[in-house]
Amino acid sequence: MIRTAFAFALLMAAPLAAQLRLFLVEAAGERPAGETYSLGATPAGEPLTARFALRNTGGAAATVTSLSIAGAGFSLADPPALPRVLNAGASLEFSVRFSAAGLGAYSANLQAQNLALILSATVRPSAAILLDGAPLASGAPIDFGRVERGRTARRTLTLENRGAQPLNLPAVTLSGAGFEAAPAAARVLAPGDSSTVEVSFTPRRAGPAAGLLGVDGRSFPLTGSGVEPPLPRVQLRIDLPQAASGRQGRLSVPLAEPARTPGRGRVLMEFRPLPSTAGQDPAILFPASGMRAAEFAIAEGDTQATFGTRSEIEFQTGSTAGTLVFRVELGEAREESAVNLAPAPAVLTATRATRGGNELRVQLTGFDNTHATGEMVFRFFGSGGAPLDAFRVSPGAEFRRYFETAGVGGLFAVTATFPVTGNAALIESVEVEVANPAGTARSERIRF
Amino acid sequence: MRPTLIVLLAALLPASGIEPPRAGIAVRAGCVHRITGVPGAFLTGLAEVCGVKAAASWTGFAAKTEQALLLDGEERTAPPGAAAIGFDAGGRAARVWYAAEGAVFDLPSGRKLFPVEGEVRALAALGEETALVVESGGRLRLERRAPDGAPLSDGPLEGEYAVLLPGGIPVTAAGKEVRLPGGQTVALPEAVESLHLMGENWIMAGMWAIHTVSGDFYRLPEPRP
Repeated sequence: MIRTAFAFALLMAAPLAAQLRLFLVEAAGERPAGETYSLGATPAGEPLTARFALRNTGGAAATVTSLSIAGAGFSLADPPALPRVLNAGASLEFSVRFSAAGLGAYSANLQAQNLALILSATVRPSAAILLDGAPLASGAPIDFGRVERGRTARRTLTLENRGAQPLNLPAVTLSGAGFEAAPAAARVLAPGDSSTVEVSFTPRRAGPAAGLLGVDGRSFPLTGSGVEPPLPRVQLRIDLPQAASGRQGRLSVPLAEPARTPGRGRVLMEFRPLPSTAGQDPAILFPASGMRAAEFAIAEGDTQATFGTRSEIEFQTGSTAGTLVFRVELGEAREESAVNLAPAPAVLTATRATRGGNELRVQLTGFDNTHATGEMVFRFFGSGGAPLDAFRVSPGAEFRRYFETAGVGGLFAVTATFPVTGNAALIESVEVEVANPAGTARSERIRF
Repeated sequence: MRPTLIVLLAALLPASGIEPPRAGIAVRAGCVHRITGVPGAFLTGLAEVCGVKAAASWTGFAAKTEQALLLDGEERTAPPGAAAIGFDAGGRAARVWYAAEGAVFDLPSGRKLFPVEGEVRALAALGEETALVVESGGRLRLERRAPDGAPLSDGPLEGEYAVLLPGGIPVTAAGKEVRLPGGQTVALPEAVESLHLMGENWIMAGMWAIHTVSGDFYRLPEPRP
């Protein structure tokens, strides 16, 4: 009767019993830990870790009260607080860490509640690693700082065999855009010997960069930041053979060095008219833009700026005396140059003399950059160039009004009409003088 | 016998007798802009006429829009489409070719002169005769016709673009080079994409003004934005 009752109790309790099992946690998932587990081989002082899960695979809750590890070099990396109740299906994760300074084989006993697991690890001979002459611990970051895009920063790792046996160094591994290591091939390092690995960072774009370097079983995070190279210094080249009004010159922007980054800039013209003139002059501009500003671009490798498809741009000096100031701007760079447009005698660009009935008409086209046209003299010549009459007029007031209101700088076209009595055909030609404060302009002899 | 000059000093240079110099016209994106000023101080005015099929200026001015011919301020009805305008030796508009009619007309009378096969790129009045640059099969030819259209001379003309100066003298352009009367060649900084008579002694090649006598050239200002 007692035996029957006991058997019945066993049958009823079995499905509800707690059952703890130990699993190894890997990237691919969990797998039963078995009775032994090797953490692998590592250089002296370089840690190895393994992660485990103590899982309750039974149907009732279980309480975990003990978790320990015994063995030189082994420790629990993140020991959980105990006791811990594990409901059915729940697990408790923890990590085991191994690190030892002496070469050789190591083992330890992991005890989880009533479960045991034998752990092993090996400390193998390895190279000492130095960065720029200083010891470098595994996992220490190697930072390249801020590096201009397209330029290269280098750090040198030195690997030393301080042991008595040759070292077989595996190939260097590397990940991360812009990072390179050389030489990367596997090699043998004799006792007492050293070799180097040069790690370089050549950012292809601006912004932070990260990578991972693997040397002799140790990993080193690589960090750096690509930055845009600075814009080159600009110069200002002005091609104006004669600094005078009524000219078209050319301006170019050579770069102090080939551009290492693309950019956009502009050139500006500022005009400071002589106070004695009527003021601003709309013809002082860059014809290609129709304004006193023009944009240019530089591409990587350029040695001078380009205006559209050309390496230079025309400018007009207008028809007003003053100072023309050119300024080029590219990023923070500025360069300035001034051209003095001195007051000058009027310039007659076209003349025409015509007869019409009893009238002689003399048309003059040109500019006066002083805006102060004064006396005009008309000298008439007869057959064979014989001098006839000369007439002196002073249209200063008319010109002053015109320059102040027309808004075209010092440009003018003027027609003078001379009624004639007698045979106008006998008057063959005329010469004109136009005076202003800077001097007197004389036309060529103009034939009717 | 010495002539006597009578000068009315008060009327010699009235304020209205002084004005900005007119240099001619620029044709930009189908619009005609007035150009004032002198070399080194040119100014491009606002668009005055747009949608032009042809425009030219010497001492006179003419432009052809889709439906009208403008002659020195006078507007007259014209056949639709392309046209070419020619000047006489005095620089006044004297001939027009209408693509829709395929014929050359006299100006200002409007009388039809003769039919032409091919595309007329330029023309000029030589007294009663007419000089024409005709494009046919991608080639330019320089022809001279009698008033009734009878051919007087005919020969090839090298170049991609051509205009005829008053007097019928051709100016041609190919690439960056413009060939002026007398064989003078001007090399511009940019390839020429159009050629017009801009004003007396000036032609316009793209946005470059070229003096037909000296060969000096200047970049014309873009119209102010």
